[in-house]
Amino acid sequence: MVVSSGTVAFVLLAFAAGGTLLLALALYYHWVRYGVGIIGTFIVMVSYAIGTAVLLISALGVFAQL
Amino acid sequence: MISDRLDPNEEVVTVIRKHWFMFAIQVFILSVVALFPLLAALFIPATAFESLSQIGASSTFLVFLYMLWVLMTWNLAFISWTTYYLDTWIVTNRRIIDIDQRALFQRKVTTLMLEKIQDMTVDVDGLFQTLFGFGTLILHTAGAEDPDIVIRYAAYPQHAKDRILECQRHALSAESHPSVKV
Repeated sequence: MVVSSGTVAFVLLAFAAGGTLLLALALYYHWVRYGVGIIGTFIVMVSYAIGTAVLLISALGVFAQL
Repeated sequence: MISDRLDPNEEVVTVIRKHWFMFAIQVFILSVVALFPLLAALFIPATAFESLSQIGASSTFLVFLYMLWVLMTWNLAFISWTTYYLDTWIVTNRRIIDIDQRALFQRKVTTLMLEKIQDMTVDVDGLFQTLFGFGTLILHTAGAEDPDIVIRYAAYPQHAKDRILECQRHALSAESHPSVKV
């Protein structure tokens, strides 16, 4: 059975998005529990979210062209 | 937050962290890792890409894989930043709290009363440590049951040692004269 690159890309994208979501929750937990308060947590999490969103949306854009 | 877990009348005097140079090295390595596929592509012969497209891996698919690669390094950078930032030594007017954040889910907290410190060693080893002002600070304890606290790559260890000594002096004088408020 030959698997198309689109299927492989879909599986990889699903893993990446799921893993990133889990990591975001883990980071949020650490920064809230042990971190630098609400403002520090907000700054870290917003910068992480912006970078992650840009990369995921770009990957999604390329995936749509496959 | 650590301030919620302090005893009454206990105040944070200083927070010692690893020097930023250690985090900068990690960022540099991750940047190289992120750019590695692009650099490698320059040296891969065009025939290799042709054979890849024959098995169904188009250039768009390779770009997609590279995007995921960058996403992975971005995530690793934030894990590094979190472990770097949360790996601290908090000096209060009573004790030293050694928070050893080894990985995202690997954390060890050791507490050492200031009175138990017998000796301190500052070890600045090598060109980079001398230039950037970081090194190892070792706090030797009196009892065998209390392990020594080793602060590796501490920023400005001599300054940190002076602050700890000052706090220890205050703690010892408060112990011998309980009416004196520290």
